[in-house]
Amino acid sequence: MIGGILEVRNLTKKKDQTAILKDISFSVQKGELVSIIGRSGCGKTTLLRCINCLEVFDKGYLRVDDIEVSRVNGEKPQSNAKEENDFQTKARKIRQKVGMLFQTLDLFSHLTVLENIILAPVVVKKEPKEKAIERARELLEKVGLKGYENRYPYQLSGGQSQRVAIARSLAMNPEIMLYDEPTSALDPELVGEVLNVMRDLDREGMTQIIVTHAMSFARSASDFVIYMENGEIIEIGSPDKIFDHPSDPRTEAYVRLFRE
Amino acid sequence: MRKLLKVSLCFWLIFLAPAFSSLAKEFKVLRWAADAESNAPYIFQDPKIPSNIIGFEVDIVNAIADVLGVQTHFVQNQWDGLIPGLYRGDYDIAINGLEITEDRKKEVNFSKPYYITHEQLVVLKGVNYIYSLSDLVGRKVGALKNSLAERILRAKGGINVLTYEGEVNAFVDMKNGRIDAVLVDAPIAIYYTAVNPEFEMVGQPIGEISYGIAVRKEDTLLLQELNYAIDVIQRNGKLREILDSWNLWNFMMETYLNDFAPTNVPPKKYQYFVESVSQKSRFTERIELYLKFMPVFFEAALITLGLSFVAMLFAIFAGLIIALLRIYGGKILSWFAVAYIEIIRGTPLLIQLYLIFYALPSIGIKLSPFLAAVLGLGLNYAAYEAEVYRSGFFAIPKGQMEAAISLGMSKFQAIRYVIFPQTIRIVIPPVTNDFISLLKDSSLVSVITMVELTKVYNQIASTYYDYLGTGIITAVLYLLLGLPFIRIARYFERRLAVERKPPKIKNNIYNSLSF
Repeated sequence: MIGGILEVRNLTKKKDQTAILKDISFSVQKGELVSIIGRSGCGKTTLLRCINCLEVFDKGYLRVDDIEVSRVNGEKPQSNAKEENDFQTKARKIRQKVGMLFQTLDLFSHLTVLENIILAPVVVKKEPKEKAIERARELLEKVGLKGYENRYPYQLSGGQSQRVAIARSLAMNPEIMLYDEPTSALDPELVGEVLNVMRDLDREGMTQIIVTHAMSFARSASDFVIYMENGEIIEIGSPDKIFDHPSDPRTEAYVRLFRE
Repeated sequence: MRKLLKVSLCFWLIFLAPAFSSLAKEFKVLRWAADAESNAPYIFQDPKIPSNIIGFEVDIVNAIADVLGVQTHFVQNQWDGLIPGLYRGDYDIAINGLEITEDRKKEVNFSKPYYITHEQLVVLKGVNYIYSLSDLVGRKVGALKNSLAERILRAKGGINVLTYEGEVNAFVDMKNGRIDAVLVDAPIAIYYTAVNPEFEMVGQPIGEISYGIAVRKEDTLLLQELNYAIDVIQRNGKLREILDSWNLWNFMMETYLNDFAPTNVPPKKYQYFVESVSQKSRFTERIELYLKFMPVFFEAALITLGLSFVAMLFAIFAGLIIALLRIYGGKILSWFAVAYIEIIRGTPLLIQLYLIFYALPSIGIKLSPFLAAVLGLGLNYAAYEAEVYRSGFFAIPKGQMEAAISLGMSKFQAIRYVIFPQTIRIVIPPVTNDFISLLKDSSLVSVITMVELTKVYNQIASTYYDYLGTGIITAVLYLLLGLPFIRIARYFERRLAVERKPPKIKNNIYNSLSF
């Protein structure tokens, strides 16, 4: 399990002396689709946010492609301006390689769909506007929203919003896409359209990590599944193993909830 | 208001180093200050031409200037600020019914008296039981705050003394039956009763008041010249001529100048005032009069608007910087931002204006009244705007920032392109609101010599003893000034309501569970 596009080793994070991530290790190969499942509060969202450097972990090692961040125990980046700077520089590099989608609908509400998509390429990557627009139209077509360029976020359904948000992330050409419960806020009938986009991306070879409660999706689409509980990885395995033959009783107890 | 004098006196005593060099020297222009709101007959607007300042003290200043062979330059200042303003150096003498008292002599030097008068009892016509101080015992009597009249009434004992900011308020209260008598400086009594026949002066003169010209302590040469000039106009009859024309010659001046000759000229200026002010009872005459005020009001309204506008622009930008420091400035800078906001919001704007205008010159920063007003209002409102922005920032869902950051934007880029544009939309209505309240707060800057809308209202109202009509005109003008901005706020509010329609999020996120 060494190598791959993403590597997490012994990652630990504490909040107010309570460990919310304990010694997390796993790696992901290019093109894989990974589901992280577990009860609310088990730390899966925090793990995702650590990979994206939205949160700072306390100890461990993180590598995204060729960018490495490693930290020893107790060193808060805030304690030292140089270290903080160093971390932020690396964090920005990592974020440019990692796209992230949130549970809440976070399209920029003052911008149209098209403007939402081209903002980061134009501002961060200094792409020429025409080129960014052209790419944005391709992406909109890919997520099935051709013709929605000039709508405002409030004119979209939840599913459409999330698909625009995916297109917005893809516009930065990420190596990895992270999804934090991307369909939890959606009406059930809209969930499928978002998941389908993710399946399409999987087929195109995008590396994707999904924190989800959509078990049928996790089961059918994942290359492997991570089950977490109380900030720990309890079990990693193929969907069949996790859902049908879990080796740990805790995993068994959780997945049983979803069996009829 | 007179209490403020003491406050402001404290300021310059504390903050002004006594390092002011004499500005008098070889002066060519006599810069004199007064408050044109101080009523007839002292210094007030010409009832027929409101942009002209007239009064017996204006005549005296001109006579003195003639003797000294210099030009005059009038500086408007709030009455309370007349003495502190001397030490700011905007003018060299203050002459405005300033009674020569021991307290004031500690702060300034006074010329020899140019007028001596007394306190006068005024009652409603037909009241036949009040003729002297003794008749006041057990009754309610009005007087100006911190005036000699108040001190006399209190010293008498047993009198229920009510004090007022302006004499007109006292007279109106008497008319409404709240008080039985008013004790005021005789000139005020003479002029007010002349145009308000429902009142009359009764009883003997009470007490003695000497008015002098105030100059800075160090300007001894100027003081000598003033005394010389007063001497000259006393001896050559000019002073008597002025006092006669204003109907102010009295037995005290007879003794003071040793001039007992009977008056044989009609009091022209007194008659002019009485005629032009009193016969305005007919409706059309009132309207005509108000129309005549309009240019003066409009000019003042423009000053109010311009001043408020510049101050608000300043507040909008300064507030933004403060808000950014508070939110993103790290521990130390945000501490300073919080301290600034709390101190500015927690202290009166009036005091801040005084500090900027009267105290800053002592450390070498002497701002023009306009700049001081803009700075005072701007710095004050910046604190409020900073808080408005901050709440605007926090009204934006946290996810907007995180989404921007995870797209690879720097914090600055995220603020610039995502947070800031949305904040602006949110804060436009409250900022407009603040502008309208700044528009009204700007009336405070009259304390630092700015003549704006409220000041002009006070001046005109006190000249005509008409607070109702001119008050309505002033209120309407403020309303008109603010109206366009209220409409702008409405427009943005409506647009915002559409843009920020809640996204379609379900309540129960677990509805989407499936297996």
